[in-house]
Amino acid sequence: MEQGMCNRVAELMREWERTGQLSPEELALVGGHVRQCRRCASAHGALLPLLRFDAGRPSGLSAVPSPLSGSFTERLMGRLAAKTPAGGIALARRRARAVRLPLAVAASVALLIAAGFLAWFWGLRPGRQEVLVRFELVAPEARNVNLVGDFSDWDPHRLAMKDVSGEGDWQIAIRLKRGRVYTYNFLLNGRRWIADPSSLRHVDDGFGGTSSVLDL
Amino acid sequence: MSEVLRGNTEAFRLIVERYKNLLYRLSLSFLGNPEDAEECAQDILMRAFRYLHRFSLERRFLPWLYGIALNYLRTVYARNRSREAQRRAWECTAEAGQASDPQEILERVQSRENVRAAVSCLPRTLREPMILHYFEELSIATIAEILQIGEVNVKSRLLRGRRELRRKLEEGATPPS
Amino acid sequence: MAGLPRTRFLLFLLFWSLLAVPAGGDELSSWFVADPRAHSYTGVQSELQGLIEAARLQEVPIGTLIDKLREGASKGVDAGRLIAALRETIERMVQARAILEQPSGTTAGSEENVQAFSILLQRGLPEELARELIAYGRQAGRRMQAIRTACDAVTSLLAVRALEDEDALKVGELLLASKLPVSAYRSLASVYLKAKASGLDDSEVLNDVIIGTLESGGGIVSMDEKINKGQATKEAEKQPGGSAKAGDSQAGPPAEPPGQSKDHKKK
Repeated sequence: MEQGMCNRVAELMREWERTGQLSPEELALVGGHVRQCRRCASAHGALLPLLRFDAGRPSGLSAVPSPLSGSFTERLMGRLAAKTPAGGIALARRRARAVRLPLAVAASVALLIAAGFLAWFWGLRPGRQEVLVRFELVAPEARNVNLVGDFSDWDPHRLAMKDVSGEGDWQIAIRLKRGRVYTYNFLLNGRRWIADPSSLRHVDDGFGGTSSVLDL
Repeated sequence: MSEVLRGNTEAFRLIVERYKNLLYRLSLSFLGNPEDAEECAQDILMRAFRYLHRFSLERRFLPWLYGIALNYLRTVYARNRSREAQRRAWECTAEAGQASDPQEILERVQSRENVRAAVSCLPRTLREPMILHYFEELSIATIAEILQIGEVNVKSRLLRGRRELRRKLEEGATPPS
Repeated sequence: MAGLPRTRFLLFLLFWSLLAVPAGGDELSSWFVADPRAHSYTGVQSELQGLIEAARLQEVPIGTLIDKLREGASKGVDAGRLIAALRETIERMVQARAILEQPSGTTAGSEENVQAFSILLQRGLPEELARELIAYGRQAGRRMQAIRTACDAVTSLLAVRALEDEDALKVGELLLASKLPVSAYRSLASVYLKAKASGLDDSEVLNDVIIGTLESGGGIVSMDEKINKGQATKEAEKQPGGSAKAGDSQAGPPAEPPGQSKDHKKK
């Protein structure tokens, strides 16, 4: 009889799992059995609140064990009033007393500049380390080779590589920030764009060619 | 709402009063810790205020607010979650199973915190609909609107969530390695 | 005083509206003003502006898009191709952002991560695999840098060998669950190539060398030893009488696996 009840409960649980539905009578049957059967209490007990909800009974899950603090709203409104992105709104607030709209626009532009400065400064904080990365290309046929990529704003002339052996061993070493992904190419003789043959990371550049990817 | 959109900050206070408990409860369902949940609820409301200019009065506010909350909670959940926390959740259920008295077992495993901890161990795609349905008591249609998936998909994820929970409990709640 | 809260709020809204819309346009305008290469595209400036602003509304990092424009301009592409490439880049970044909007990491790193995952998707990482690995990594308490590098390793492996999604996911999860330094993840594709070059077949490389090593807690050096052992075994099997014993190393200590080392000269 006991095993029969365990099987019946297991069957109801499978049905509930499938449909998310349970009648109050079925809930009573499951609830009654798990109070008497240790094995079924272990297997199904934790799900009883969910079953109660699906049977249309209060589950207790939407109640919170500890209430929100009484000062929640005031603290939030205080944060809202004091919020100063990039330190700018405090400045704007002082000027706002006598400000007309054109001066308010000027204040917002100042905020943007301040935000830009902080973003630049933040990029140089410790943790954004720079590493020296050496790029090499063996191209005896090239008269000149330039390294061109995100790190040089894709300026084809900025990073000229040096033929260290005189036989087409082109090299350059540059400092790049960790944590960033760069795409780049080598430009041979100012005309021919190639990906880095020593890299396994290539990507279609969207212009009919291939670029290399460096993820630091 | 239109008052806030017209620039009346004090009108936002009404929104805070109306939804603070909901956001606190939702945060608690994800994080488990009341202090973290309270701070999280504050952060969500700050974000809601910040993004209010994107809200159109033709939409329903509640699903929009839930969307903002879930986006933020995903980040906080990931930051706070650790293997140790997962292990504790399952250990509670496993230890409870060692008791000899079914009533004692039920008392321990049925607690909101234990159920919450078990649900929070589910993968994200299952955890969110389960929390929204069983802890927030939202309808399938509303959950679909919040998660921007179809209702069939919501039902499927709830089925898989229930199945995953049941499977893990029947296995004896073996802690993840 | 009555008007002060309203003015404050107006300034607040004005600040955010300035950030939300014209900043993208400012970056594009700056490019057109400052960069002579941009002059070829003045005819499509408004179309580019529209794309940039749409991208801004979807929280796509604008810097990456401007880089794409610079790249196209440097490579001398026509306006139509430039617009198409920009559009594709935006779509991929929106896709990457959507993937990362699950556990998305800290806001400080999000622009880099959006860009990194956009490139990984472009390199062939399946979106579902990215989602699974991000979810797994987060549940395992790993930082986004580790997750990103694991995804990079799997993507590189996929580029050299077509893996079943299940196997690719397994490799990624094993990496994230392992004690390997994150920098070692990148060697995986090179390990695969070395193993193949030494005569091991696909199944041996994947299951014994890579998965087997990671499951047993080993690292890149262990993989290398297995490759050398496997190579020795195969060569012994080829010898009449099989004189060489399995396990004899070929020559000296394990060689560095070929990789993206910038010190490695190509001959």
